[in-house]
Amino acid sequence: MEQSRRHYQWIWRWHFYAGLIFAPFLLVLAITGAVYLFKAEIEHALYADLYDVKPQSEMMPASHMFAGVKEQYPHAVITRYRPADSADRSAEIGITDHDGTAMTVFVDPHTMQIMGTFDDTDRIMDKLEKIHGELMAGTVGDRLVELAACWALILIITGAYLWWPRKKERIWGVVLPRFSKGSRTLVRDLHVVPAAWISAGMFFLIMTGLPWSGFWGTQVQNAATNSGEGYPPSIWVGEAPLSGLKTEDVADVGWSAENLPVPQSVQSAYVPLSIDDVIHIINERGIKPGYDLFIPQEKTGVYTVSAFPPKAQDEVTMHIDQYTGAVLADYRYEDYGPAGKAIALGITLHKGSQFGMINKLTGLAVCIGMILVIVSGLLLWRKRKHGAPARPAAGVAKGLWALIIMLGILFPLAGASMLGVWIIDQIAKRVRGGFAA
Amino acid sequence: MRKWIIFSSLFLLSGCSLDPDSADQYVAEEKLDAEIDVSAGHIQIATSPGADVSVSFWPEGGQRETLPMQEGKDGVFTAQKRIIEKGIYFVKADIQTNGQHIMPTKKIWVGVEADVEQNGPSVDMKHHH
Repeated sequence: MEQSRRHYQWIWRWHFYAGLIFAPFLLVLAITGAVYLFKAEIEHALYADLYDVKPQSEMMPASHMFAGVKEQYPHAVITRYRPADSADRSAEIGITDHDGTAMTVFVDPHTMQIMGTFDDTDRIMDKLEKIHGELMAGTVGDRLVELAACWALILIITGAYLWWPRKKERIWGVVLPRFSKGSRTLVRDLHVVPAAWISAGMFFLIMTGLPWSGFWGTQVQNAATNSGEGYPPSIWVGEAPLSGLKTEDVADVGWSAENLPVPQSVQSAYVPLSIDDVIHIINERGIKPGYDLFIPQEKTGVYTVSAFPPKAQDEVTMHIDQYTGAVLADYRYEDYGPAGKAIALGITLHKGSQFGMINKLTGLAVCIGMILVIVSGLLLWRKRKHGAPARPAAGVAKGLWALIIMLGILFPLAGASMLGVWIIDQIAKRVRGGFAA
Repeated sequence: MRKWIIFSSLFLLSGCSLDPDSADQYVAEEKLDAEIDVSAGHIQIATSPGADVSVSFWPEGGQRETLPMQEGKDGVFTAQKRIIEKGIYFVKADIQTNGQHIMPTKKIWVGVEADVEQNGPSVDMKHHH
């Protein structure tokens, strides 16, 4: 009994400090995530005047639209083309202006009218995604988010231990909050009970979000891709194949010069495929609009078709040689390894797109639950009478050490931070020991 | 326990890098290429034996014509074509197999200065610096 009480104290202490430190990060993730679930709906409302066109039966070929955009922005380079995916939707042409600004031009595919242009950095949902993924702080932010996600796992595990009912057949305070036992009990129950309800959802969102992370995610993606079990290369990690350069320069050829009245120089060179031929090849492969086509910017670059629609099963990544039109790689969901399929499905479920509105509302419920749990957790801390919990005198059980070390190995970033906590704890122990002596 | 700490630190430090040949583990596309040669009054296309080949020819801004091709050995196709006027011309080979459809195009300058950087048939993507 005494032993289990001591374990309880240790785990409670971990839960307390980890919660306190990572609460602000997790709060940011929950709020931005809740909004981002509705990206499609929000963007459609924000950009209706750029998206919606009057439907007509005929659509202009891409080359005409490109020419129109080139006329409007003579110094810009076209980097991306997103064909209209329905008769009432505009086409998007991504350009980089001479000063390096990335912009999107919206073109009515029926009339060729340019409906508007915006600076890509102004896209609100992209900013939100940046906050959600890296707190708008680049690599440091990315690592912090990853760390918060890993520690959230520790919070769930330690929280589950603390929540676990020690008396049989208890409902109040375990699966339902107690409203009539004073405010402290109520705040405690409003922390514990919703946490228990949403813990599985939270765990799922963390595990499906972690493959995005720059450190753990990249390592796992590399290992999965290398083993043949993950995404094929170039979708998440790895480079796209290159276009085969035939003759780099213009070559002199002794062609029918002798048939000309006066001897002439005759030269020839391979030229890149026309955009309309590229679209033709994409259509032949059965790919429906809704994809982005990235235009090669280097001599050895390739055309890349990238489609990440709501359902993971419809994903396409295809690379096309810019000189011959040969399809160098064509990866669909069914070509992913089992781990790649799992990650891809996890991503569409995480984003709430896989099963439409029900999926989004489930995600939203978990986010709101998280916000409630974090706020009530912070309230619990404020309501504490004795400040921070003291270091329990007794050691930790071997099983608990094993669990901590296993987590540390599975999530090295969290492992490193736990090592840091352990060192600080040891120093604290020595210092306190010194005082005692 | 110290061993475990050393082991986990090693795992932490040793990154798992991507194998450059990892694409071999996944589905591969049929390799199909073609060489277009223009010399002394004829056009030659060298590609995979058994491929469906058709070749079109046109002067810049002018009418396209399909050239009758003669199939030789080992995927070599030839057509006769004489040019008697200065100008810019295009030869486009349209080659199909079960798994691929390629359309390499060659630009020919007769008596005029080559301008491959500016006037490819696709939108110019170069010189953006």
